[in-house]
Amino acid sequence: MVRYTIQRIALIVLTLFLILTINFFLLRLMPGTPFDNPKITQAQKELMMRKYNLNDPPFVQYTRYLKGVLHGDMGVSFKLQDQPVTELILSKLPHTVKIGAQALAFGVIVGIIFGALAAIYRNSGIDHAVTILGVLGVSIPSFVLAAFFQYFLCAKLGWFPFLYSPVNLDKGITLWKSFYSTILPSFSLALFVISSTMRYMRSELVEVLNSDYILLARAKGLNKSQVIVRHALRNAMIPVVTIIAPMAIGLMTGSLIIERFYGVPGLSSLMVNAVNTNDYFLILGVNMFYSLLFIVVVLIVDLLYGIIDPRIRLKGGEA
Amino acid sequence: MKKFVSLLLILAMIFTLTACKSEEVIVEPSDPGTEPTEPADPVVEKKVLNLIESSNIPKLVTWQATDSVSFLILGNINAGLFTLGENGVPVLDMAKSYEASADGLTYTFHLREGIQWADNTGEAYAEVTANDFDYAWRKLLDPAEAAQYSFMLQTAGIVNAGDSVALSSELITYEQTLKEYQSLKLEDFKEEDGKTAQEQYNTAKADLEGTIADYEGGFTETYGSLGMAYTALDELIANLGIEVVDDYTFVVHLSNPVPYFVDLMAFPSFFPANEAFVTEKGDKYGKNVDAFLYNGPFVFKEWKLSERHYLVKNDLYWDASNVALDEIDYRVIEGVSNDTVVQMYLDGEIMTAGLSGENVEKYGNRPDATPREDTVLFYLEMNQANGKLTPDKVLLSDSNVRKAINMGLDKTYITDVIFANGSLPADYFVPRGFQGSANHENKDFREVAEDMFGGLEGYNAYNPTQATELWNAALTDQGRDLVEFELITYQGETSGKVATHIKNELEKNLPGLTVNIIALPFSEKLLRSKTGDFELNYAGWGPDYPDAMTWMDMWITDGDYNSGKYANADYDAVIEATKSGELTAPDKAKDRFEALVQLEKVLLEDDQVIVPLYQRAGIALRDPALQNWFPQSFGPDYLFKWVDIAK
Repeated sequence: MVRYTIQRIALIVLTLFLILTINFFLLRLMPGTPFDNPKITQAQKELMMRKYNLNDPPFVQYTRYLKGVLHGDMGVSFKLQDQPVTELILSKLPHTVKIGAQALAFGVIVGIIFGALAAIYRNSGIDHAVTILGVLGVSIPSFVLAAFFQYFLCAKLGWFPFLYSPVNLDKGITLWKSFYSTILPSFSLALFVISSTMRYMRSELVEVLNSDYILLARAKGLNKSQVIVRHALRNAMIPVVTIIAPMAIGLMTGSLIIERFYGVPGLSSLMVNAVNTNDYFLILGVNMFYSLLFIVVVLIVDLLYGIIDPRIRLKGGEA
Repeated sequence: MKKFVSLLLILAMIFTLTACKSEEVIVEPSDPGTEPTEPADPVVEKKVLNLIESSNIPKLVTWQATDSVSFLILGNINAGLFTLGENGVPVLDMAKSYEASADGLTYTFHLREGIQWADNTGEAYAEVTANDFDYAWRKLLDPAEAAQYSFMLQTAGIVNAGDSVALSSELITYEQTLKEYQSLKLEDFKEEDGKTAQEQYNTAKADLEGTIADYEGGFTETYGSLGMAYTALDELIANLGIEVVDDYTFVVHLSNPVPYFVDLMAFPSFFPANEAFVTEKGDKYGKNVDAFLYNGPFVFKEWKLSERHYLVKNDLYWDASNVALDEIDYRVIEGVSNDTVVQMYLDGEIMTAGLSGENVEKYGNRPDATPREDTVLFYLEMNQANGKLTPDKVLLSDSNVRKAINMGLDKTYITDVIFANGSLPADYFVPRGFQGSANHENKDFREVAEDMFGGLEGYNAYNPTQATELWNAALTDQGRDLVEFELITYQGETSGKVATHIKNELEKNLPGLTVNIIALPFSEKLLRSKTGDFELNYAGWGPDYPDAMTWMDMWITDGDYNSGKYANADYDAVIEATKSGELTAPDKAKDRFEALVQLEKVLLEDDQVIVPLYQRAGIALRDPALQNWFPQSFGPDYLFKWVDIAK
C-alpha cells in the first residue's frame, strides 16, 4: 500500500510536469501579449515585455519558470497588481471549495438515499419518480438550472438572494446569511451529482438484492431492513465511490459557469479573465491547480477503494 | 463498511449542525437590537454610497495605472495639484495657488502646508511635500518601472520628457532590429514568387543592415556614439524639467506652452507619492491597503479581491469638511450581468446602475433614468498602405472611395435602432461637449466648426446617390469591378450588429462590393490592425486629455495609432505648429483652436481618412437622492469628493 502510494505520487509529479510543459508552450502560441493596449506604443510594449522577461527565447523562459515553481514561486499576475499567483489562487479557493464541497456532500447523500429507496421499492411510484429525476438531472446543464432557479426562486418568489454573499458583518451579512446565499449555487451543481449517484446506487442495489448471499441472509432469519443495512448497502456503495472523482471534476468545470451566474468570487473568474488577457502565469497556475486537484481526487478514490472492499488488493498487497 | 456509513452520517450531521448553529452564534454581534445601545450621543446616520464594480483593480500605483478602474479608485484616495470640478473645470487641490509665466513655459505651484499623508487606519504618516510630486513623476520615466503612461509627461510638454521618450523609443527599436538581425536564419526562408530562399535571405539581411546603419549613423551624428546615446538618455531623464524649490514650492518647466497643462494636473499619473514609504514597502507597495498612503478625500479601508472595495472618508484630507460622504462601498462582482446590476438597483442595494441591451428599452423611460454623456467615438479605419500592398489598399488610397464609404452608410440606424441609448450618429471626430473655447464665447468645438465650415454634424453627410457615383467612377478608373473588403471587428453581440449593418449598407450602396465580417478576440484584432491585415477596421477612441489634440494627432504620418497609414505632410505641419510650434503661445489660443477645427475638416471633408460612426452615450438609473454626480471626460470617471446624498 505504502509503496503503491509512493509510486502513484511520483506519477502525479510527472503528470503535473507534463501538463505544465504542454500548457507553457501552448500559451506562447496564443496571439498577442499580456500588454495589448491600443494606447501604448510598440516601444512601450517592448519595455513591458522586458520588465517581465517575456522577451527571452521560450526555452529560457520555461526553465526559469520551472525553477521558480520548484521553489514555490508560480510567478505574478500582470493584470492584478503583480500579485503572486499562489496568493491569488489561495484567496479565491475557499469560495469555490465551499460551493463545490456542499454540492458534492449534499448530492452524494441525497443520491444514495434516493437510489436506495428506488431499488428497495422497485417498480413502485418512487422508483419511477427517481428514474425521471435521474434522467432530468443528467441531461439538464447546470447553467440552465441556475437560470431557472434565479427566475422562479429569486425573481418570482423572492425566497433566495440572486447573488452569493461573502460574510461581511459591516453590512449585516452573517455566516448564516452567507450560507443561505450558497444554497442555490450549490444546489444547481448538486442536481447532477444527485442523479448520477442515484442511478448508480439504484442499479447496483437492485443487482445486490437479487444475489444469492442476500437470499442466504434472509434465510438465516434476518429481517429485510437488517439485510439491506448490513449487507446490501455496503456492497452497492463501492461503485458509487468510484464515480465521486469524475463528479468532483464535473463540479469544477460546472462551477465555471455557476460562479458567474451567482457572482461567486471563486477561481472561475480568475481563470476566465486570465485567459482573456493573456495573463500567462495566472493561467498556468490555475490550470496546474485544477490538474492537481483532479489527480489527487482520483488517487484518494483509488486508495479508498482498497479500504472499502478488502477483496480489491492493490499492488504491493500488504495493505 | 459500517465505519463508512457512519462517517457519511456524521458528516451530514456536522454539516447540518454548523448550518443551524451559526445562526445563533454569529447573528448576535451584528444585530443592533441585541447590543446594548450607547446612551447620550444622538445617532448621526452615516452617508454611505453603495455601488457596484465589475472588475478588479489592475494597478494601485499612480505611475503604473492605465485603466479606468484603477483611475477611479486612485482619483478618490489620492489628490494631485488640481482636481476636476463640475463640467471638468480644474480647481486647486493640493496646490493652494500657482503662477504661470507670461510665455506659458514655467509653472510654479505653492502647496498647502501641513497636510498629512494618512495610512490605512487614518493616522498621519508624514507631510505631503513637493518632493513627493518630484519622486512620483520621475517614476514615470524610470526604465525599471517601464511605465506605460510615461507619455503623459510628454503630453504635458515638460522639458526633456518628450526627448527622453523619443530617444528611449529609438534605442529600443534599434535594439529590436539588432536582435532580429542576429536571429536571421537562411532556413526560415522558402522559395517564393520565383525568388530563391538565398535571395530573399540576402534582401532581408541587407534591409536590416541598412536600418541598423541608419540608426547607428543617427546616434553618432547626434550624440557622438551609440554609447553616448545611452548616456544622453540617462541625462535627459535625470534633467527632467521639474524642480523642488522648497517643501512647499514645486516648479515645472515646459519646452512649449501647453494650453491644457493645468487640467492634466488632475490626472492620476501626476499624483504624488511618499518616497520613504514606497521604499519601505518595496515590492508590496500598492498591493494591499496597508501598503499605500492616502492624501485624497477617502482612505481605502478594505480591498477584497472580487468582493469589495470599501472607502471611508479621510479626516486628514485638507478639504475634509467639504466631503459629504462617509463611506463608499463597492460590491465587486467580476463580469456581472446587466440584469443583475439593474435588479440590485431596483432592490435598493446600489444607488446607480448603467443600462445596456434590452434593459435600455425596458427601463430607459423611468423617471430616475438619466442620460450619461460620453466622449468616446467609434469609427472605421481604412487601410491605405499598411502591410503588403494589395489592389484593395490601392483602391482605398483614393479619397473618393473613402468618401463613398462614408456617404453610403446610414449611421442613424446604429444609434437609434441598435443602441437606442442616446448615442449620436457622427460625421465628425472631435465629440460633442468635449472641449469649449474661451476665445469663442465658450462655444463647443462643434459649434465653432459650424461657424467656420458648417461642420456641426460633421462632413460628407449620408448621400447614397453620390456615394454610388463616386464609387463607380473610382472603380472604372482603377479597372476593377468586384471588390472584397475584410472588416475586422470586436467579438460581441452589439459589435456584430453594427458590423452587419455596415456590411448591408455598403453592399447596397456600393455596387460590386462584398464586405466580409471577421470578429476577432481583442489581441488578435489589435495585432491585425498594427500589421495591416485588414481593409476596414471597426475601432474606438477615448480622449487622454481635454484638448482636441488627443484626437487630431493620431493621424500624423507613421503615428502609432494611424493603422491605415494616412500620410499628409501638410497635416503633420499643422499638428507640429499646434502641438509644440508657434501656435502654442498663450496669446495664440484662438488661432490654435481654429487651426484644429480646420484640421478636422481636412481629416474628414477633404481626405476622409476615417469613417466616423457614432459618439457613444449611455443611460443609467440613478437614485434621485444622489447630488453633484459629475461624470468626468478624462481621468477618473467620477470624483466622490463632490457627491452628496440628500436626506
